[in-house]
Formats: sequence, C-alpha cells, structure tokens
Amino acid sequence: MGGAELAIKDLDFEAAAELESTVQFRLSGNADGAIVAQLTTLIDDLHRRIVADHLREVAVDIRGVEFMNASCFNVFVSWLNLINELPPENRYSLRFSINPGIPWQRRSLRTLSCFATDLVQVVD
Amino acid sequence: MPIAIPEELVQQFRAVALERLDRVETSWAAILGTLDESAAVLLHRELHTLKGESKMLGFSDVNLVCHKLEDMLEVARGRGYAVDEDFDLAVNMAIRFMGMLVRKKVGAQLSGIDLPGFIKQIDSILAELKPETKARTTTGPMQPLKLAAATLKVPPAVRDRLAPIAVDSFIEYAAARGLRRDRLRLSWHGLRDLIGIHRAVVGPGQLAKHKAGGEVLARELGKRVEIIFEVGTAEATAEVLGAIDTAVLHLVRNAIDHGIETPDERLKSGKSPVGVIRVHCGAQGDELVATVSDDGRGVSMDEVRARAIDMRLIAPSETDISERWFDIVCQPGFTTRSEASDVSGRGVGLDAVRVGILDVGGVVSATTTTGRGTAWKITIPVPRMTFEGYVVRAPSVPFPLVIDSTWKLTDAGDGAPVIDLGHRLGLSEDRLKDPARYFTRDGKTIGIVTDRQPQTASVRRLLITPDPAVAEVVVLEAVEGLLLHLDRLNV
Repeated sequence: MGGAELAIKDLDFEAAAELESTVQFRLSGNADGAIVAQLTTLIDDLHRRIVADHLREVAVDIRGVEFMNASCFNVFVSWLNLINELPPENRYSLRFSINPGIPWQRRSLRTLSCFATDLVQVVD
Repeated sequence: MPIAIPEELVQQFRAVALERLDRVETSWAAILGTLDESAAVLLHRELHTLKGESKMLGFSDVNLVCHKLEDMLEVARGRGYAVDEDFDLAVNMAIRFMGMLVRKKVGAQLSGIDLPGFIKQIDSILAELKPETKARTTTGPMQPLKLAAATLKVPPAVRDRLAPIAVDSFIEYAAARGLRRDRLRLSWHGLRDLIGIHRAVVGPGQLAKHKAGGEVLARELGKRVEIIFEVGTAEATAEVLGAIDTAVLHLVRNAIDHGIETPDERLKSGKSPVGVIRVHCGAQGDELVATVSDDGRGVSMDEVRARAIDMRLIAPSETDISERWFDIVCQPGFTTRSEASDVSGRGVGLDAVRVGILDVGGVVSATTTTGRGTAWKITIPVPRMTFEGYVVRAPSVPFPLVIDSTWKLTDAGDGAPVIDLGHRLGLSEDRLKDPARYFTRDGKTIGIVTDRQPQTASVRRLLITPDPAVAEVVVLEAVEGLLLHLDRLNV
C-alpha cells in the first residue's frame, strides 16, 4: 500500500506515512501553528488506516523536526486519546525515534510517554 | 472507610471539569496572545475551582496536577507571561494530562499513566525557571504583579545599547540547531529577561489595595476619609506598574497625613467631616495618566517657604514660591514636620514618587489651592504592547517575520526593491529575488521574498529596539519572531 496521500509538504515542514506490514511515519522541519490543521487531518486519516489494517505499531521518526510548537504537539496527545478509545485488542503503539542532539525532543517525548507508558516508546 | 461518592456526582464532575479545562486552555492561549487580564483571572479561578472540586470528588491525581499547574502559572505570571515554547508546551501538556485523568474511571488503576513521571517533568521545568524563587505559599486569587521589585533595574541608556545585541542573540539562537541552539537559548533568554518587556496590567486589583491601608491610617490619625478609586485597566510594563504603585501609596498617605484635616477642622471650615481622596488611573492614548486629589487644606506656602529657608533651599529674600513649591517639596529630605513619625517627617515620600516616575520616563506635576486641596498628576508614556501585523514566512528563516500592519500589502510592487531576508540575515548563501510580496506605506514600497500569502495576527512586543535598529523581537501566540521596521531598512 503506498502512502502518497498520507503526506504533508509545506514550506518548511514535511510529514509522510508509509503503510506496509509496519507503519513508518516521518516528520521533518518546523511544525508551527500553520500546519496544525493539516497534521490533525493526516493523523486522523493515518489512525483510520492503521485500525482498518489491524496494524500494531507505528514507527514515528521525528529526528528531522527542528521545532514543534505546543499546538502541534497536542496533536500527538490527541492521537494517544484516539488509540486509548479503541478496544484494548485494537490498540497499537507508537515508537518515537528522536534526535539526542535536539534536547526539546527528549524532554517533550518523555512527558508524552507519561500519558501512556504502554503505548509510547522513545528511542534515541 | 472511605465514603462512596455517588456515580451521578462523579459523572457531573467529569463533565464540568472537562469544560473547565477547555476554558483553562483557551484562557492560556488568550493570555499568551494578548495578555488578556480577564483571561488570566478566569484561568486562575477555573483552575483553583477545579483543584478544590477534584479533591472533594476523590480525584487526588487531578488535584495534584492542578496544584503543579498553579505553580507553573505563578512562575509565568511572575515573568509577565513571557514564556518560551517549552514552557507553553508543558502547560498545554499538563492541561491535556488532567483531561485524561478526569476521563479515567475514579479509583481505577493508572494503567499506562505515569503520574509521578509527569510531576517530575513539571518539577524539572519549574526548577529551571525559578531557582531562587520561594515556593508559593498562597493559592488564592491573583496577587498584584510585582515583578519590578524582583527585576534587576537596567538604565534606559544601557537597555537601548543592549537591545540590538539581544536581537542578534535571538536570531542566532532561533537559527541554531541541536546543542548549539540550547546553549544560545540561555544567552538569548538571559538578555531577554534582563532588558525585555516584563508585561503587567495596571488595574483596580493592583492599586485599590491602598484603600484599606489608607483608611486604617486615617483612623490612627483621628481623621475621617473616603478614598475613591476610579482605575481602568491598562497594559504597561512591570517597571511602570511598580512606579505607579509606589506613587499612589505615597500620595494617598501624604494626602491623609498632610492634606485632609481633622473632622473638627473641616466642620469649622464649612466642609463635610469626611475628607475625600480620589485616585484616578487609566490609559489616555499612548500615555498612562494617574491623578491623586484631595479636598483638604492644600499646601501651605508659608510653611513650605519657612522650611525651605531653614534647609537653605531658597534664599530668605525669596518671598513668592508659588512657582517653585512643587520642586521644593519633592527635594530629597524635605519635610514640613519638625519630627519624624511612623507616618511621615523623613522627607522621603514625594522624592520617591518623583524619582520613581522619572525613572520610567514619566513626569509628575501638582496644583494646590489653599483650603480646597491638592491634586497630583502623573503622566507616563507607555509603548504600544500589542498590535496587528502581517506574518511572513521567508525561505531559510526558521522563525516568523512580522510587518506592522500600518504597511499595506500591494500588488503594484513591480520595480520596488526586494529583500531576501534569509540572505540578509546570513541564514542563506543564495540570494533569491522571487516570489515576493510587496508592502507599501507613505509612498515607499518594499518586497519581501516569500512564497506564502502573509497572514494577519495579533503580535506582542517582547524586546523594543531604538532607531536605527531594523528589527525587534515579538511574540505570536507563544512563538518568538522578528518584527521588521521596513522604514529603517537600507534598501
């Protein structure tokens, strides 16, 4: 299954998801208020596809994200809520790859993992 | 044995709590965007109420996060809500975290939720931001913003020289990546905290507190006085608030001690036994104007003249001081009292008023009429704190650029100079010519390279630079950006 339609390409932010047997979701650039709506839509669509395909894990690669403001980060929190609302047997996990050279990534993802330690894994 | 709370009550709490959290989130965004004082009041009230309700209903985890969030908001308020994106993110996460806790079943295990870990994260942010701040001891309604007293005072001339350096520091920080960005963040934030605008609101809550103290003082002096506060809400800096606060304190005390007569004296003069002091404060255009007037005896020129001669401030030959009395009474150490009491007599009050107001660029004047009273007037220029601007995203510039909306977008820009800000700021080797959007004002047109349509947004000033600096730092929502003074650009 191609992921061409599950993508955002903005001036200085890009995100794209590829669904095969696992899901690769890569984000890069600067995520500010201008892309909140696009990111929300993208993740809603991605969530629906993951549930439909009974996938168990998403590899979320944010190593290329230089900046993400609170509104954008809240989209990740909402994503966790969507997963938590699923029946336990349908839930999937998020494995975030972060860049240790970008300190906010570690801080923020550590906080995000507190929302659902069973669903969020953070990998340097 | 714990008392079982009816499920109906718990469900009701959940619904109300989620509504409260919505309002908290909206209010937080409003505060960061426009320093909306009513939003700040609402936020603190909602959060404090939620804290109480959650405790009553057995949601101890919600109560704990509420308490931590109150701590964070206290820190934010102390910084005039000039917080960075990390802090904004932490506040938003705390609100969302509480939402999740509210939704979970009461008494249910915190499956997957790491509450201690979350609290630890908030504590680490607080520890970073307030290493020398004592823990909050009250959880009541908003206290006056008193940042000025805790802030190192930087003379205006030094501030003006440091401001362009701070702007450069911001650009370097905002364009840096990785560990270098974190290191430069400390430099930028250090300068920002030192010379940036510490916002504050001058309002009834900040000044009317002097009413009670004034009435107590009047009683102690055997006088009767009605103190009327007519105070509007105006945005200012913490330094201005501090100066106005000090001035009102001294002028009200001075009016009670020196101006207002005893009830017997007033009755003999045909006045009501109750003296009246009026404090008025509000924004008038680009100025903050405060007046403190009383209907007392007025300043005795004879007493002031005699004391001034004693203190060798004027020559005995100077018989008319009607043009000079104000300067005399504001001299350091000047007092008409022969002995100092715990109220007055040390000659500090009016001097403190004038120096404090001068320090923030303001002026003090006064008029007095024998038997009718004295009126003090304070006028302080206040820079415009928020305005509408065009937000422009330029290639290679990783932060928003803002053009003051006194400039207008125009399609008729052909032939006008075009600036590639990425190249101009040294963030890009290549110099682009297009696509550009054109801005025009007073017959001058300048193009800015951008491939996005500029958006309008409310912008808050964070670091003002004097002419000829071409940029200053502003905040849009919680994101810091650069305001460009196109009129100062050399194109």
